[in-house]
Amino acid sequence: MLRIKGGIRPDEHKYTRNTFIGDIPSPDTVKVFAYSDDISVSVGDDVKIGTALTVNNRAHSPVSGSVEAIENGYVVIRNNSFNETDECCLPFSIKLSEAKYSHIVSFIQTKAILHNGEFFDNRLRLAKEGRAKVLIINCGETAPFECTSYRIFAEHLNEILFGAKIIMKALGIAKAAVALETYRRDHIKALKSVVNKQKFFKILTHTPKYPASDPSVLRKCFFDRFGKASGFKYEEIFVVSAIEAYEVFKAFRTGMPQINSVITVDGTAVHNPKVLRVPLGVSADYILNFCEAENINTVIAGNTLKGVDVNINDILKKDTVSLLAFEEELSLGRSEATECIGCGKCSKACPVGIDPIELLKRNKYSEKCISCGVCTYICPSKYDFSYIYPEKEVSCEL
Amino acid sequence: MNYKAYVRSEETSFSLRLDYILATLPVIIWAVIRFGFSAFMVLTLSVASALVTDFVCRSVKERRIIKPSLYAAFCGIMFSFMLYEEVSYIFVIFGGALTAVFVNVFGGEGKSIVFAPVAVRVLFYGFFDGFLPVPADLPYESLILKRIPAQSVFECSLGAVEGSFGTISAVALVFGAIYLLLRKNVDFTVSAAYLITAAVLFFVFPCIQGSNLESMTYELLTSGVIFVAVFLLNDYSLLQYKTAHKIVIGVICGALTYAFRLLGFDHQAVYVAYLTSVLFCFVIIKIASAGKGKYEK
Repeated sequence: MLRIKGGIRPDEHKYTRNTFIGDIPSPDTVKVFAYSDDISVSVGDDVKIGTALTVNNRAHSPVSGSVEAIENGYVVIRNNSFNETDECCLPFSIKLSEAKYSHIVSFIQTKAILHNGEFFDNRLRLAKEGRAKVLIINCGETAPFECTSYRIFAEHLNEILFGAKIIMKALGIAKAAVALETYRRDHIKALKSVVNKQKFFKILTHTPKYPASDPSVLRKCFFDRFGKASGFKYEEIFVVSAIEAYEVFKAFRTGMPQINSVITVDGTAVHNPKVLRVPLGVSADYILNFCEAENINTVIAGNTLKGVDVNINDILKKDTVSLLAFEEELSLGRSEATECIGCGKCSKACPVGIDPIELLKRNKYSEKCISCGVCTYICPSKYDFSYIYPEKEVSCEL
Repeated sequence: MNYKAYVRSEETSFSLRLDYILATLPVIIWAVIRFGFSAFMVLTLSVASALVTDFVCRSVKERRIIKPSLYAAFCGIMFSFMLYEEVSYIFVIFGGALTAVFVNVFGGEGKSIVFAPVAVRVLFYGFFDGFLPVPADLPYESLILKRIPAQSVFECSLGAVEGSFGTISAVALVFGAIYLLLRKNVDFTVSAAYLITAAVLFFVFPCIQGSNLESMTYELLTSGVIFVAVFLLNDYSLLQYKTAHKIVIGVICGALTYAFRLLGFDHQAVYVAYLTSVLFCFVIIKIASAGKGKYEK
């Protein structure tokens, strides 16, 4: 079992853990973020499900219809509800045993799989350049409220493992570890029954502390535990989320690019919390209405420890994992902070080994910081440590 | 746009300090039972003096009226715990005030809190020992003479002996430690290293005649060893160090305690050992950390 240094055990609030992934009908109009300046469609063009909207295949239409407008990097498409699929969306045609890295990565590039702010084909290229030797499939989910990865694992385990095999084939990795929390006994049992037949997967459990399932933390823990003994370098560890592995499988099997995201919709303002498969280009308002949200005061994309503020009319991007709505106003300010008592809790809780209070006092930030929010959560003097987070492009930004 | 956190834990700095004060309750109760009105007066005067002085110091520093902090009350309690029954109230008031002054000048929030009361105690009994009587029948006096004390282990554990208000009852101190452990607001790494080092040294190289186990037991139960372990070595200023550094502090403090006992130092031995080890380790750790990457643990 991997143990993380630091971390916390906040209230889980995983109310959607046992709900199946549902679907939400596409609205009349979708507004798809292009992720590129090179938009390949024009106003009035007809598009189908899966049609590429940019020259470099970074965005695709989630509905069939016509392009109504192109504004501020968004392609607005009017849905004709015909649900016609683009004929160019074809599954991977080469047998996996005969496929090479170049085949796989060029195929994935056309499917625009995005997670955690990065396109997966770019991550694969970096992993290949870094000569990745170890693959970890991150199936853990320790953040409060989020049950996206949990549900995908529960309902699509075989798909995740097949997606992982594709990635292993691309990178030439012989074995992979599937990481998840120790308390998920049913999932571990299900995994064992599958893994026993396939010798190239190993089960790796970790403590259910937040943020153990953060890729950087998982990578660090894995390296600290096994790296030195086994002789591989930190850069040779490649962590892939369950969501990414699942999307890779879907793309290979159906030929469809990533045109929807599975997200957890929850929060005190949501009367019918769900895990939904949401098409791209849909506003937060539409999703929250579908889940019977009322008296909304705060909307967050992410979770209550690592999230971004969202306006009710904002369009969610494809790597959003959860959408939370609260009746109460959730905000932290530096005004409520009292004197630092030097308890060292922030430093002790930091999973990546930095000293948050020293950084805050010196008005600096650290590139190692993963913005997990643990220091802010645990500080008894109520400091807001977000001032030390490195500025990173957040794809949920609108 | 940055990520941010939206929720916090319910713990506050006030609740953390209050936990430490509540942990002293078993000791206070036993002191009042054992010593009666004098214990109550010493405690009250020490805390009141520390609070008033802290209020004045912080208000002057900030140039506005500031409420006294809970840590001042804790300093007052710690100082009173190290005093004997016959202490003059004038010294209690003066000592409580001086403790608060030291904390404001050299310590305060984010720095050491218990260092000041210990330092004031050592100064007072070092320079004014003629004015500050020490009880005659301390178990520790027998240990200095390399003899097993007349009091039983049970009496020493319970605190039915002569001694300072807050250090005589190991049982009451342990109750306080259990409370802090249950509240999960304490890290006993330094204390554990201290107790284990002292216990091993006292057992393997006993300072007094008698069985090794008996010798070790009396040494640990008398003259403030448990008090140092439960309260002084859990000062927040020590919690900020790495685990390895904490263990070093504990080991050095334990070794010095043993050394001073072996050399026959008086009742101040354990407090001098504490002050010396903390200061020494602070300097060494500062020097050792100077070359390392900044802002990394």
